[in-house]
Amino acid sequence: MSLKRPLPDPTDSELVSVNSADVREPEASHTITKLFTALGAALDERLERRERFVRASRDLTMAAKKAIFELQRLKSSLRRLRDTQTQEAWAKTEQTFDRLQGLLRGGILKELEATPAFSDTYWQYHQVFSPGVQEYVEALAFRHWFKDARILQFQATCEKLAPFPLEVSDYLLGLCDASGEVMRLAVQSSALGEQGVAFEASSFLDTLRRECTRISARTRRAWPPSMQQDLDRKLVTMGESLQKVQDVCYRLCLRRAERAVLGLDDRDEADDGADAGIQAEEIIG
Amino acid sequence: MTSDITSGFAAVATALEHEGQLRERLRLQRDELDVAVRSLETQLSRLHYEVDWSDAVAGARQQLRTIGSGFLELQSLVPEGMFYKYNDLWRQCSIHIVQSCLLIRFFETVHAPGPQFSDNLDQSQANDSVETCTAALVTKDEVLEMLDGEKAPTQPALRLDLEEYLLGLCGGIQELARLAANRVVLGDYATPRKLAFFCNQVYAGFRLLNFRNDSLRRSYDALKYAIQRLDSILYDLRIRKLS
Repeated sequence: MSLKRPLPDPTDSELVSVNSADVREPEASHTITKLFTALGAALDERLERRERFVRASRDLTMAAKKAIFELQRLKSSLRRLRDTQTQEAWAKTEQTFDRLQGLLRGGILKELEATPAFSDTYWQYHQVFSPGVQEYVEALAFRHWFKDARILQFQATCEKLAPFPLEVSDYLLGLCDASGEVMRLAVQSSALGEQGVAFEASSFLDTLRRECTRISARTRRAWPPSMQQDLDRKLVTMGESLQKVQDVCYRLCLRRAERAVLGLDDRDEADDGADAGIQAEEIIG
Repeated sequence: MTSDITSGFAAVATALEHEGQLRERLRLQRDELDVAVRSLETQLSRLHYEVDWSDAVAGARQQLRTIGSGFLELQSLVPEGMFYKYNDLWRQCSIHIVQSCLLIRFFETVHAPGPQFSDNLDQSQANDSVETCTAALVTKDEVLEMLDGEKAPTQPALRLDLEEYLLGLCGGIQELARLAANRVVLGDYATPRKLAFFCNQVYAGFRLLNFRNDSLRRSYDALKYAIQRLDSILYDLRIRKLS
């Protein structure tokens, strides 16, 4: 179609006439350029700050993930023992978590403190650095559960993260993620022949899921939709984790009853564990 | 162990309850603001159907006052430092306000066509090139001034996010491109020319900016089609010797 033309190029007659107008009264064009130069500088500053938050968040996420793996490598029975070897292994994870806190302080917190309005910047970039904080909370909550089979309370988490101000949403979402690690630990432990963990995990996850579901009715009012979607998704995953742990518990109970019926003694337990291990892999996978 | 979780969540629930109440209040206020913003846009849609725009623009100006006080009421509910925690609620409102302010400012600063403009093409064309340059692009501060009206400066200032402002500008340009075709329908052949000139300048400004992949980037990408549309309108008029 002849009426359609590409975008105007400088030799275009239309633009030439526009340019001649420009010469006569260059003020408006000049103002607009000046305006956008200033806007561009402000926008660039935002982009750069955002980039720094992204990097800090990613560093924290990676380190927290490593810390979680480190915990998963510890035998869960270690937490029951009080020998020196256990103490040493535990002390090592303490160092790892000290480093995590250092990363938070040196990364996200430092960047926040470098800005004139702390709270304002906190909320402006909250979505950007939130993943890192959540992963950190997840690692902390998992470590807490690993040791005592107890929940890490909001207040206690705040104290651990201080002086970084922890937001309720990051606590809740991080806690939800920790449920996956609890499941992993429970299934793995039962595979390795330690049965207690699975039952603890089952009752813990069951209560946690009930409480989180209850609280999700409140968050629906308090949170923007994107955050709510996040929580809803995590609750589904948490339900799946619970199901996996409950399956393990079911098998363990069945086996125990079977043993009683057949009159086998507990020495067979090691074989039993190895057997359950095969099933455990199916479940985790 | 399990009662542990329940008692721990009580504190979390209380915090969420407070947050929820605030968000609810803000949402109600925002809905009211939204109604006002929509009637502002209704005012401005008269630009598409009325040859003389002075009434529509004056009416829109009036409407801005109402919006300004509603907006101020909304923002004064937000605790200090939590602007960005809640501003997702009124982001769309802000964008539409900026968009309308761009239109108002444009039509206030561009010379109105005389009552006999269509009879006297020569004259309007003579003024044309000068006129094209008088149209001003509304700045972020000007938007806030327009909303504040004649209120005392002692009142807490309204806030507008930079990205909201830029998104509003993109929306305004799209609106102007749409308007250009409708002005031709009205027999107004001079205004599309001014619109095209103005939009080109703003687009040139946008090209100075760096974007990341977000909604602003997409809005910027869509601008080129508005510019193309304006250009083809000018071409259509020109080959028919209408402007």
